[in-house]
Amino acid sequence: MPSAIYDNVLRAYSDVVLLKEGGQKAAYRATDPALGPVVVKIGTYPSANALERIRREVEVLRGISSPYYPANIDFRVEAPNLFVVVEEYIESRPLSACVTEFSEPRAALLFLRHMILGLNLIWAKRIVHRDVKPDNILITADGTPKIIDLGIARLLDEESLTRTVNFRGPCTPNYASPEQLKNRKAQIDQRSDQFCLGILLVQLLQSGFHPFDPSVVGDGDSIVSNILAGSWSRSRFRALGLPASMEVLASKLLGGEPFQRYRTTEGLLQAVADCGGALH
Amino acid sequence: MHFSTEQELVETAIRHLPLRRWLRAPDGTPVFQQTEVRGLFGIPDLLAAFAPATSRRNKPQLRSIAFEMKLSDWRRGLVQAFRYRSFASTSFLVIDDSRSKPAVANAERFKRANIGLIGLNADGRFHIYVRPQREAPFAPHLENALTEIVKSS
Amino acid sequence: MSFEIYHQAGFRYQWNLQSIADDSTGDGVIIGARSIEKKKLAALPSEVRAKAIFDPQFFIPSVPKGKLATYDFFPDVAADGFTSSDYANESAGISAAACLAFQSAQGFRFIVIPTRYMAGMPGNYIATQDELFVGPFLQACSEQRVETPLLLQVVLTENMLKDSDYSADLLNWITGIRGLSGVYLVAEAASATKQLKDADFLYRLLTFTAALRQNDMVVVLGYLNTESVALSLADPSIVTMGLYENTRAFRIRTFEDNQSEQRGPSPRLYVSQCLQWIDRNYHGAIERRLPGGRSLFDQNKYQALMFQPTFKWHFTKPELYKHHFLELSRQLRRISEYQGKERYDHVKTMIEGAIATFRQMEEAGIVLDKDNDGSHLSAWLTAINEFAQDKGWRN
Repeated sequence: MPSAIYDNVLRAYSDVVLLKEGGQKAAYRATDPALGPVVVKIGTYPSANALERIRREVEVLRGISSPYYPANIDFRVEAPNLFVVVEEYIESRPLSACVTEFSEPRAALLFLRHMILGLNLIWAKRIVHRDVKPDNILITADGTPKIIDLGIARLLDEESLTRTVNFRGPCTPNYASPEQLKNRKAQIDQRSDQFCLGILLVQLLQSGFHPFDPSVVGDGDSIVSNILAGSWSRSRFRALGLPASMEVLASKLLGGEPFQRYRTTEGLLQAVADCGGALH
Repeated sequence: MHFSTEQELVETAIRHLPLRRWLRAPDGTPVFQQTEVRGLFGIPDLLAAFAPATSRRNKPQLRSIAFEMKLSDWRRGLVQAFRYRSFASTSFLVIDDSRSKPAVANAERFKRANIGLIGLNADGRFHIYVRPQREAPFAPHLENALTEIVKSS
Repeated sequence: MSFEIYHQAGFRYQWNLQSIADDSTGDGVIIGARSIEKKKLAALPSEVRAKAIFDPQFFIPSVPKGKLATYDFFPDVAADGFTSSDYANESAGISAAACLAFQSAQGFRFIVIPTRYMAGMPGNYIATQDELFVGPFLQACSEQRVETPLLLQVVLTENMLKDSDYSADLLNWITGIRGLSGVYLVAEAASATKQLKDADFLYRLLTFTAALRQNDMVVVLGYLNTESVALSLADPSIVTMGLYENTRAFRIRTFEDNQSEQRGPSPRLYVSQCLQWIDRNYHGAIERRLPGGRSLFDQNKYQALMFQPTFKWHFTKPELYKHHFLELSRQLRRISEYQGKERYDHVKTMIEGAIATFRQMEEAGIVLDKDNDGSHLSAWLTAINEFAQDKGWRN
């Protein structure tokens, strides 16, 4: 049920359907009388910092014109403490709902390649997504991914908005790199997103099985402890019988330290291409 | 009773080792003897030399004996004593006889290197465990340098 | 991948250049600012500079030792008296721009971003280097639209190298700097022995180098002695060889103001079969006692000259070093023909062969001191075996 305080905003649209809600925000599919189907994100911002983070996400998206990101249509602030973001609506499903459909290696590699090309658009602007996970990837009808929710993206050139010392920085723990889990801010760069891509790659190839799942690997009792220990389901992966280059790719992406992953996007794309070649 | 310092070894060696006899220097002839000689290869704790007045083909053949003194560190002593073979025709390691067992157990290494091994006691008694063969120094340029040192002394 | 050989040139850089020109012993030269005046460097032939790497040697930014004072971008000169905070605020950018412009104008093969030497494992290492040098240089590169490949000079202390977390942080930092083509790596061992005898140090340097190479970075290993043979296993892009000892091992004290004049060393000759320099004063013992001893000394035009009775042996004689360059470069070029496991097998055979030679000398009654014996070789063998184990090259 839409929150009452959102009613004033949603009044301008028809066919309003809640897509997801959580915390202090919600996202709706709606029909704009002029634009047609849109996504309307409404939420309250508890502080100036939080608003600034949202504004930053909007700025980033507006600077990118790409099929890998939803186009931003509008951003405004309404009293009291309300933000409204309007984006293009894309007919799609979150990856979390179709993660088993990419277990075929070529499909998984193609997906990975799309993700790299898409993320590279923000990496080139020295922005790290920091929350690459199945819920934040929409799969369109033709299988192309759309990357959403740059809410915790980090601009490497700007001062951090928060000076709070946390054990863990902003991230989704089960899809976070070791340096994010340890909140080593100086080490968080595009290679942190690569780690998450590694998780996704292995998860897709393993028909949805998380590579750090403690029921399969490691002495830890959680995915997070396995990530921190560097224990991933390597033997299960090997049992898939894929070319050696794919294990190399996965191992490198899941390297515990950033320097163990790919220094450049070009190098990563080449490695993906080499895997594709090995599959033929 | 053992020595406390290498200096004591040097002093006892000077008093009791028959350097003149070993150099085959007749009584009354000058024998070069100096401690801590520099400018060669390593610094021998004691160096003794005798230059016969004449020799075959009128070529002066310096007879020289170099000594390295060690209280117990025979390995280091062997290395240093071997250095002195570059300019001296004979070289000895002199070690405190009360601590000479480990060195003596490795006498074969001294023989192979042709380096003498002497165990010296505080009362002046000594035992030659390895007697080296007299041999031309390895480095003619250093032998010449020693000859100059002896001449100018 | 095959690697190149560069001369780490110092005071007698002309001998390095002659050796390269006359005997093809190198692919280029690294020239340190301390050893050559700025105008003389600029006057070197363009074909020499095109293959050269300039080392600004900002190691101690407050001490313009030797010819460093002739470079207006040296920190102490640029800032008219160096202090970290003042330099960061006022002169870092100006100095970086000038240093960069100079290197660009000279047409060097790479442009080096210098960093300062920091002892131990300081917590502010990365922040300091970023603030004083890396940031200003990258800014200047952008403004001057530099296209020449960039190398970051990194001086690793033994403590840094041996601490896994610290060295991982350094690797993360280096590989995360955008725009770098590679690293000009200098490692300082704590021990002052003439040869590297610390297996752990050597192993860590191998793995550090390999990690950089796995990031497709150019790696230039500076200030090397004959351990270049062992370090070749990490697949460096360029290894170095030097003339006097201060170009064959990095010691920060040679850049300090108060360093007293050292007594000249005894002349030594490089013996390739031993992977060791042997003091001239031992040569007679080797010739006399070792069967075939004379042939141990590598036969080349310099050896023939040096073993004539009229030759005056002295550590300042160029023949000693030109002989060394000729022999070591031959060994390194041979190594460079191999890759991976084959290179390991070849280098292992070389080291084992050298160990066997020293054993023969010992059995022949030749007692060498620790600066002349083969005591470094077992450490090298340990290090390369451990590295080969990691790489899966050992059965």
